Amino acid sequence: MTHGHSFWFWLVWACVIWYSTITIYVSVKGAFDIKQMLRDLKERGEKQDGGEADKTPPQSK
Amino acid sequence: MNFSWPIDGTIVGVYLLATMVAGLLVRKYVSRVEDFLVAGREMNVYLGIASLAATEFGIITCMYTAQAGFTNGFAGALPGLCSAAAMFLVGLTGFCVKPLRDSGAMTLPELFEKRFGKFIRWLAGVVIVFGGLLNMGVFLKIGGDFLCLVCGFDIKWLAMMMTVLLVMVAVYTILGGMLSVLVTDFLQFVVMSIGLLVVTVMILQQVGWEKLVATVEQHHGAGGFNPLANPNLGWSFIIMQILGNTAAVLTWQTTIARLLAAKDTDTGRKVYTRTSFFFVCRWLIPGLWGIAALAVIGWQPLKQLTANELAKVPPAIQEKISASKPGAPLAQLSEAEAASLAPAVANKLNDASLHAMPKFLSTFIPVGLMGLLIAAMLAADMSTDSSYMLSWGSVIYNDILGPFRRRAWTDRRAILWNRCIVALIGVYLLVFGLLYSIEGNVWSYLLLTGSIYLSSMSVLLIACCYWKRANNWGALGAIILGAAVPIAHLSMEKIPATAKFAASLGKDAAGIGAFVAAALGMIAGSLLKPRAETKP
Repeated sequence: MTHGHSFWFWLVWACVIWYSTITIYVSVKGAFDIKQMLRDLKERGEKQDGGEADKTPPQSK
Repeated sequence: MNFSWPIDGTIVGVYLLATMVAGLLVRKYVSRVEDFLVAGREMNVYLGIASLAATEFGIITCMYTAQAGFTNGFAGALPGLCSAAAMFLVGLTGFCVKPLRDSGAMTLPELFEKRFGKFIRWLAGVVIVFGGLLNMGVFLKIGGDFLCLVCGFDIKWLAMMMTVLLVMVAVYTILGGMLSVLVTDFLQFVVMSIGLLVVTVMILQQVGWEKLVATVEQHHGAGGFNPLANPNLGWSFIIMQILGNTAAVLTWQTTIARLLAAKDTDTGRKVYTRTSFFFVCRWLIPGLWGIAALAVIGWQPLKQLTANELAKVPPAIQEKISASKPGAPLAQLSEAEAASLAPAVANKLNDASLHAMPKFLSTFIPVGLMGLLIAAMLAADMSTDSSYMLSWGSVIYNDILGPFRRRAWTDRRAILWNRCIVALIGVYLLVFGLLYSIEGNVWSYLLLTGSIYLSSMSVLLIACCYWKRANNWGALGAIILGAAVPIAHLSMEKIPATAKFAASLGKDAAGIGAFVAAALGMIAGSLLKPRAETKP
């Protein structure tokens, strides 16, 4: 089955299996991460607009 | 060619539309320069994994890793193993990346300022941008090459293909910065991964493991499986891979941008450890495509030439080229014979190994799946280009232009400047890609141009984090010496009188030389500077 090159044979299949699994897992979890990130950014933006930001304009170095 | 406009074109069109919409929708969340450059440091683990994987796999990656498989067999995937090991160990131990993320810096030079002063920050920024832009200058052209070959378009459409690709990427990167990059990276990761996996499984099923192994044995012998038995690789290649890949994990701006955009240090480290195995896939999967190309279409460099060009090549030279090893069409020619070939002909012959994989795919992949493959490759390329443009842009804004800003800028003004910088990088990419041609192996070129800064920046980072005696004299020595060696080698390659000497040295030796020179510069400079008097 491996034709004498078991290291490369199993490494290739490890890549295919690991990559398939991680693609499905990251596709689901990553979507939640994006949702969370945008929600956090929105909340922070709202806080800035309504809070201390009215006294001093946001500055960058 | 199996590209069908109604079917494959629609699949590609839908993907492009979805990407552009996603990239443009999130731009409204960008209100501060920190949002633009590091996505407000709100990135979590899985988005980080998707983004890092998508960024570090572009069409250029697919092309040079397939070329490595074509010219060196399975042994050509060695850099992936080195890279994965380095990334896993760095993520696990937090070596350098923990102090870097803890410092709160947005770029590497910003951290250096705390230890080595403002001038070193500025100089580090210049070296990073110089090495980085030289490195990514060839991305667009090779991406355009791939698309023309796979779709079966005439190469005269290359410039237009490059421009269209660039404009699409530039639009959402300029408007949404890192936020758009992260969101589109996620989408691109999914599309790219599906395409890569489908094509790989098809190759394993239809070409078959037995034929792949037999092809490598026939063309490369034991050297196709063991890098130490391969005359193209050997110890200097292995040492350079270990040094270069470790340095890239620690200091490559697009990689550490994910660390710096992470919510906290632990999240950044998790992104590293959990993405590490992807770097094996990144080399082995396209490497397998390259081996499949060799198995199916074989090594026929003369087929690259037109009938007119072929007629001008003497039969004796044609025979030698046909009998050459994959990837080295001119290796058996004498100096006079090689010089007798027109430069355009020599370039075409040298590109034979690079173009083999897309040519193979253009006939191997059926209609329908071809659209998925093109969409996957576009996804890979767009995510890489956008991240690279933003990463080098952030260093130009933060570290090179920073010292010239006498007063603090408003976020609005800072974001505008960043957008202009990203646009200028886009223009540079287009011009450089059309004008520059690579001598020899693409991966070696990328590693050598990368080592202009990888060598010195990795030495600076390690010294900054762990060597108390390190100072600005040492940092200056490391930057100058680390950049001098690869620049000298690249220049010698282009000067006819020194080209032969540069080729005999090899890119790997030049790269190792850069690391040694940078380390010596740091040690000598730091020890030579008199210690400051400390009050009792």
